[in-house]
Amino acid sequence: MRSIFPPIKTKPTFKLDFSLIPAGIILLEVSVTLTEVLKIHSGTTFNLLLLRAIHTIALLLLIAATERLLHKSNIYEAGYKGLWALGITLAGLSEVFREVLTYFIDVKLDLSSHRFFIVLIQGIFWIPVLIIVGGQLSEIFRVFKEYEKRLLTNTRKDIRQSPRFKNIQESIEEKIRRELREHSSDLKLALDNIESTNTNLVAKNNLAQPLLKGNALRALSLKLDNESNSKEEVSLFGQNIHSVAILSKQFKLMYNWMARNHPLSPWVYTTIFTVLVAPTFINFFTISRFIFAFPPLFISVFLLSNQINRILRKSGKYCVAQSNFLIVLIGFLPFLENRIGQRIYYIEETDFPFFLSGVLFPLGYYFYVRFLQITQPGAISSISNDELEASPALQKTVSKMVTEEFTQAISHRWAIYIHGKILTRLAATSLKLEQSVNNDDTDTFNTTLENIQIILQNPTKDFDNDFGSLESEVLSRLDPWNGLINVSLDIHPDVAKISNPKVRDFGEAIEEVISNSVRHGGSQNISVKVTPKGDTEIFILVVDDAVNAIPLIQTRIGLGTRILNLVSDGRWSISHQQSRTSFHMTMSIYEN
Amino acid sequence: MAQTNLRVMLVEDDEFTRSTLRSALVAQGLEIVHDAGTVKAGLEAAKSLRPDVAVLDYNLGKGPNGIDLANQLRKFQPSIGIVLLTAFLNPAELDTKISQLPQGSRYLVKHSVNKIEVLVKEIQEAAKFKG
Repeated sequence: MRSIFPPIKTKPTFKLDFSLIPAGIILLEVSVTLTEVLKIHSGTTFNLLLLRAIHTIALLLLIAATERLLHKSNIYEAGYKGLWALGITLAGLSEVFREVLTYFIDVKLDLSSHRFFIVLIQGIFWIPVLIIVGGQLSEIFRVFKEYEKRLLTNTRKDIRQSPRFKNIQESIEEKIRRELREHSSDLKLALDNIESTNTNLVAKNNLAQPLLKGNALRALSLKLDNESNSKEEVSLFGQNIHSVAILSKQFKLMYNWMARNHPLSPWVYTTIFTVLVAPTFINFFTISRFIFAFPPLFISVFLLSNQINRILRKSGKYCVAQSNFLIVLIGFLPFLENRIGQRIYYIEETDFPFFLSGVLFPLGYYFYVRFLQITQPGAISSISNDELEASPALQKTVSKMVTEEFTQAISHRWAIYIHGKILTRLAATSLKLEQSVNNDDTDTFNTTLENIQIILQNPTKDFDNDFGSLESEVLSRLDPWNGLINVSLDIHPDVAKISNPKVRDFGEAIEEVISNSVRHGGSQNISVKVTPKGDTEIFILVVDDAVNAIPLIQTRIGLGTRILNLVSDGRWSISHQQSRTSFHMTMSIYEN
Repeated sequence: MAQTNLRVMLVEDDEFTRSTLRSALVAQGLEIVHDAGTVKAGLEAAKSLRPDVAVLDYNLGKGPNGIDLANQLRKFQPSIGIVLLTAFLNPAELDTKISQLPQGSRYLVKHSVNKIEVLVKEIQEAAKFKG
């Protein structure tokens, strides 16, 4: 990615994007209005506000007309000179219109010669910057979105592999197992008692039947099923808000890292200061007073900026805190200079209002510097090196998210298991006992009772023996679909024989994708390809012929999405090509 | 015993449950034309044997479930009766999924099948569906 503001000698061209200008104009107009309201002016405040309102609307119309005119003339790009010419023209026209307005509305502010400098600043700096940044805004957002995605992936991975998370995992799973064992043990004990009672078959059956409803196990299964669906689905809006929240939590860390590794040049600090503060000086001071007051300030800012740059380059322990202090100090310099100057020689019209010099300048300067710091192109491209760590706040958020995903996925797995294996077997046992009683078959009755007791003695046995090699796991998930749809599998020999607990996670992800493709997409043909990716990861490509295209962006996050996020650390996506839908996922297959 | 001429197919992945259901239904006078443990086997059998009613387990283990199978069966045999068995105590727990069941399908909580007459009655009801 090239620099946002490449050197003039490289003769760069920029897309003429006016999207940010209306917002910039409104901000500027509000700021100017505030300055003028605070300053002594002839005429009423109402007249001033009226003038500013008309001026703002006219400016917005002027911008819209200019954009249209340029596009009609097939002018879509411009270099620095073109941008300056455009900026000065727009700022000049705006100024002329303002002057015209003062003939109709009784407001007299300052000398036109002062305005000349303001037009120059607006035309050479503000308008070109707004156009350049506007043209690269989508690129800036894209880079940040990519960064956020990578950061989340790495943070998820780190958290998933951390001893703390492994402990959480074990305790959640152990809790479920303990409950299942306890309920099964209670049921077995009750059935043992029936078996040992010296009563006839009918009486034994009457005692056994209510127990075989397995109410406690059913309640456990239901509870787990509810837990797997307990978290409300998150809307797209919710996801975006979440994303913004995560990024804002990350901002401080990002700024600190970038300030240390890509500090702004002293000229950038000085230019921002000049552009921010000079218009006010021009407004409040005569030219001779300006020449007297501004240069010392400019030199001080430049010296302090050099100091900031030097401190950050040394990258000491407290370098960011020290630089922050100096940035704030620069923001307060106009206030300090004005206060000292007024003490020495009081001139009413050059007395800055406190709100302006004591609040707006320091705050505005501080935030402008931070914004420019994190949007430094060099810094943005460095993001791709994944040198940035997640902030503690981000880690906490992701940790909570991953724990929830794990809880839901494991609860779902156990709920299905208890329903499908244990409760089904209890129901079948119940039927078998009834049949035995009807046939007066004591042997079958006793054998059936013994068989269910064996299952209840070790209720987690089938759950634990539930994974084989990667290939057999995928086949076990795909084969059952044959007949309903056509499924093909292409698995690379280097990964086919991998066998570890992660294989089952992989199987669940594949099942989620296939069932989603068939049930929601109406697919009839699905191909699955599994290939190694690096030493520890695999890449999965599922291509289908879904009739109902699955949305590229998931507008709601359900259990399925959470399972995919957990398994792949969020590294999955969907794309459409003509009549085909492709699902791509990368996951670690060795570590657990 | 409920005398009936209905030809029934059974698809249930748990072997013990399947054989128990089969013997109980046979004892009730129903003709079990085929019992299968997988969707694939069930589909193949249904294509050749054309049963009147298919009794399907909802949870068939990995892969498609009973509702997926029911929808497929209806594609090539629109009049086939469907009875879906679930381990859920309260069918309302299955509400969202029930809506995906083909028209005229019946569903039954597995535990209530211990009185096999209940299942037979549902099979008879399902058989009334004419497509």
